[in-house]
Amino acid sequence: MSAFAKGQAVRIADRLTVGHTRVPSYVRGAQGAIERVLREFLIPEDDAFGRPDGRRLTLYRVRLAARDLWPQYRGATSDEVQLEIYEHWLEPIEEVSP
Amino acid sequence: MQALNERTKLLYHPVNDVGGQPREPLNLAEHPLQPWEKRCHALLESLNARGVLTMEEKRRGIEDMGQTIYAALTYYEKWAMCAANVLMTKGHFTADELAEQIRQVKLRFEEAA
Repeated sequence: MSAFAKGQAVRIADRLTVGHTRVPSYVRGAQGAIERVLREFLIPEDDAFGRPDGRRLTLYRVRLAARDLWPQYRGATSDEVQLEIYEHWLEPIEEVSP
Repeated sequence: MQALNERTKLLYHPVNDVGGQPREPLNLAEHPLQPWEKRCHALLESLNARGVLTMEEKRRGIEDMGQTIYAALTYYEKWAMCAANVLMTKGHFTADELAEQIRQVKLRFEEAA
């Protein structure tokens, strides 16, 4: 059962990366949305240390607006970056009540 | 992004995580692969398929080389050095055995020359 649904707003965790991760530093802390739910895979953090029986978590395709990542970006406003991010790196964004 | 001091930045950016950082223009010229580079690629793909040395273990090993070695070695030199380190860490062979193997291969090359 995946924790996030297609279209849901998420934040990518902002963490240090002692060990190994596939989350590039330029997207850590960024906000985006779930573009699609993929399936469970062995996470890179465990795979990287020779643990084939490590944690298996859902992988998501996440979309991020280029203008959110780079405020000085001059391309089309619809330009975006899509990255595959595992569940343990995603945080839900709470709805702000009016 | 959180405020980072210079030392913390080293933990925030693995050596190969250069996305979004200032960099001189990339050299996009194609270059032919050496025979040993093709063999290196094939060997590591085979080891990955069998779970002996996975892609992520290789990536982690390359990140752990440090900036100086990372910058100095070519792409497949990094693969070869990292494969040796990870396979030794996992107990597949010892540094002595690797050194002996390298000595024998060198000898064969010298005899062939």
